[in-house]
Amino acid sequence: MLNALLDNLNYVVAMILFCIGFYTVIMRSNLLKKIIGLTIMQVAVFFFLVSIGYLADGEAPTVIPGAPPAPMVNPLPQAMILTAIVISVSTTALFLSLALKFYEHHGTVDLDKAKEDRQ
Amino acid sequence: MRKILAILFVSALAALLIYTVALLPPMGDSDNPTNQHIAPRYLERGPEEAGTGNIVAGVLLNYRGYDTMAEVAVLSAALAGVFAVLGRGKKRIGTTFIDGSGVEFSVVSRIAVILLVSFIMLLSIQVILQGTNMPGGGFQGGAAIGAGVMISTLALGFGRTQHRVPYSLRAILESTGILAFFVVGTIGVVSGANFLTYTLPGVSAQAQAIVRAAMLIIVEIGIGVMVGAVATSVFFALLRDKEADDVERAA
Amino acid sequence: MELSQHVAIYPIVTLLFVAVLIPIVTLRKKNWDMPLAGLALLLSLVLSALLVPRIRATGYLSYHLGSWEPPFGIEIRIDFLGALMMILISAICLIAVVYSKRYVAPGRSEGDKTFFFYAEQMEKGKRPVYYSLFLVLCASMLGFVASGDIFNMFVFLELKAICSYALVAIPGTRLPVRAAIKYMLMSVPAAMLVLLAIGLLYSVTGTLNLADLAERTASSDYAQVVTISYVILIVGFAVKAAVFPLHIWLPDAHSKAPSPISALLSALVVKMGLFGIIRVSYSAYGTYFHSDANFVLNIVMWAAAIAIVYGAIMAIRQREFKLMMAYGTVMNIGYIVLGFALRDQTALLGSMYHVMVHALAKACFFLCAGLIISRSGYQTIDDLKGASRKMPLTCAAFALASLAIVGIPPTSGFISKWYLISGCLSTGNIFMGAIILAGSVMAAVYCFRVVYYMFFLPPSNGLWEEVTGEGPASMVVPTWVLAAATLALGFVSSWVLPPLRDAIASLQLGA
Repeated sequence: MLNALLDNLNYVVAMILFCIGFYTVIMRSNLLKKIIGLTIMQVAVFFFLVSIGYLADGEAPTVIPGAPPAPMVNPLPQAMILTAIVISVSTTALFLSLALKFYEHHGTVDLDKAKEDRQ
Repeated sequence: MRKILAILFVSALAALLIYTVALLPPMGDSDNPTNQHIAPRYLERGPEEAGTGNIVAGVLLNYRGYDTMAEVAVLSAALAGVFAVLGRGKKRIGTTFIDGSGVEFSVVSRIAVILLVSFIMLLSIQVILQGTNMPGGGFQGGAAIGAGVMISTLALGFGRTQHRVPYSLRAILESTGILAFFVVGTIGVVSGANFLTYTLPGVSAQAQAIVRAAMLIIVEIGIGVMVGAVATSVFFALLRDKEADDVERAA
Repeated sequence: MELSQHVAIYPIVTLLFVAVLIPIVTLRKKNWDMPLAGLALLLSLVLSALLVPRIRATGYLSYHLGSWEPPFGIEIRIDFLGALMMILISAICLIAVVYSKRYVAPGRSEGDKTFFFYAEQMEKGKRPVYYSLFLVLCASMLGFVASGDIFNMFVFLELKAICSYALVAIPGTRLPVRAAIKYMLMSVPAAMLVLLAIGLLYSVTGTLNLADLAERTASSDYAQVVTISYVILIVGFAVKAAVFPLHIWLPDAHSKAPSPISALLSALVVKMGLFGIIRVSYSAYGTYFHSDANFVLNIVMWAAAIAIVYGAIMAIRQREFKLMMAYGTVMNIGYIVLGFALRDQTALLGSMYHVMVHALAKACFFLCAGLIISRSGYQTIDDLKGASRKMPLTCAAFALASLAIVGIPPTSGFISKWYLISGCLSTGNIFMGAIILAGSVMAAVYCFRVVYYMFFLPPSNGLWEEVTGEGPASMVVPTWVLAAATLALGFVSSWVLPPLRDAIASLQLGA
């Protein structure tokens, strides 16, 4: 078991990061910190996906004329996370604009404080 | 109390995920299922089939080009979403700077920024155009364009930068991503194959490689321009001036 | 004809294309945004309808994008169920767009009391953005149901999610913005869970194509990883589908959005999460789903049962009618998930039919709500007393749609519940059948209470006097089209059900 964990250390770290991000989203009441937590979760998943495509001693999947042929890393997860990164950036942009609007309404970015002020 | 529950829940989730991950095939092993089925074909026949030296770009634009089109649509939707929430950042009053003061940066800073932005734009054009053969591509280059615009806005003020990229120009540029995909894809349909196949009707087999390279570049440029325009527009919208928008709303 | 196979992709692509054209066109011609949107949706409806004859002939349509054979390229795979969903999506979106023309138009001048300017309205600068987002939302849902590749499904899922966050927040006032934030806070982590599950699945199978995944998970050495990835995927989709207890975002989001958007959200957007679960369970995880998933599905079944009861009780307790309708959606999602969790063909038929029934009827509900709010500004159920005197058409449409939601014979709602209950009984879950019946009774309580208030009680003091009458035709006609369609669905069921039954049977065989 421990051997398996050490072999897949990248994956383990990715999962720990994911949970740290998830905890931040749940527990912090500041909206910007929640967004940071979401970003951490997203980065963790991307890290996981890229590590899946890794080939030991592999080169980057680019054919450079004149370079000797070498085993190359899996290009499919890289394409997947390129798409996923763009999606996560878009979501973060929308979320930040919502946070800005929230700030304009309530004068604070803290969800708990906004709830108190409403009371 | 809530904190303890949260910690317990997250720890349980972490335990489950780490357990799952330990069961996965070892990382980097060439016998993995991931390195068996689809990936070898992409790596071996990618450059000749997809027409790119950069195999990741080949996957993004050719093998899985439909995903990239959807991704470009996500960018458009996010931009529309930012406009929906904040307004479109059309007008700005005066040459206001980020800190609200009217104080200009020194001449030295301004010239340095202008030089810097010129090189950044050159770099991003290179990244976009070379994206099919070297690491790079439309998204990366577009992000660099956006960064260049942001730096010049920060240093030179809104007044000087924003009128160079007015809303009407940005609206047109933002459509080039989907437009490029639509046009290139329909050309594929017209030439008898399925959507987003990079061929042209009535062209000899030798010229097909050139046609394919040209269509790939068109799509790359479309993506690059679009990402740059989206980044710029989101930046301008986020830095909106609430009073200016109230004036616009009353108009 | 060779060209006709491209109808698989062109609805989606055309909608996206027109969506980015709208901001450019409105630079010059400010009033062309709604007609363009309507035309694009009409085109996609026609193209989706053209799919049906092709699919009836061959069973399903497989379209290889980029001419790469799957699994090396992305495959679009539409069976009869998918085609039906595409027609439903295009039709409801078209109806909502026509309704939106007068709903999101800026209010008239101060002296004109015929159109009450309520907070659901938005600034006129946002109109082109509204229609663009509308079209992209529709395109994303079409792309999601048509897709045969799991990562492609994820991308369209996120596209749909971004559009719906933005459309919930578009009024720009406090409540919609807060509702959108709450929605995002639950939905974005769920999307990450879906992506995580896709990564896990990919790492043990090496492919992303649904049909290919079906083969590979059947004989995989990593059965435990497959199981865990299924659970994570289901949880992620369940948040998007608002299955109890992950439904928390739904009441606020659906009630605070503009009414045509609420209609789309309740009718279609949450169904995408459900469709995702069903599509994935029957293809990529097919073998696992049929043989080993008992424990997981038991939990899902009980969650669905609680959703039915909880949704109904909360709906009865609400004071505002849009909130009531939102909780009604939670309840009906419970029905659909229950039918799925039973793994029985009849129950699944009932589920899928209920998807259609609920989509039409709930959309009609929300459009009625929008008519009432925009004419009178009233939002609570008590204020609806005597509404039928001033707005008879709207109230009649509401009454018709509620017949279907409650499940009175011979409406379509009755047919879907009949199949659901038959499925429960044939799999031995008599308790679940009882819950479905109890749910119908409770739905009758909250729906017919509103109908009673509208038709049989006099208006409260001072209310409804200033309301001059029905809404404009461009809003009332779409509402009535939906109400009529809900009824018509009951009459054409003999035409729709057999191919649907065949499509579900072919799902079971692992196509």
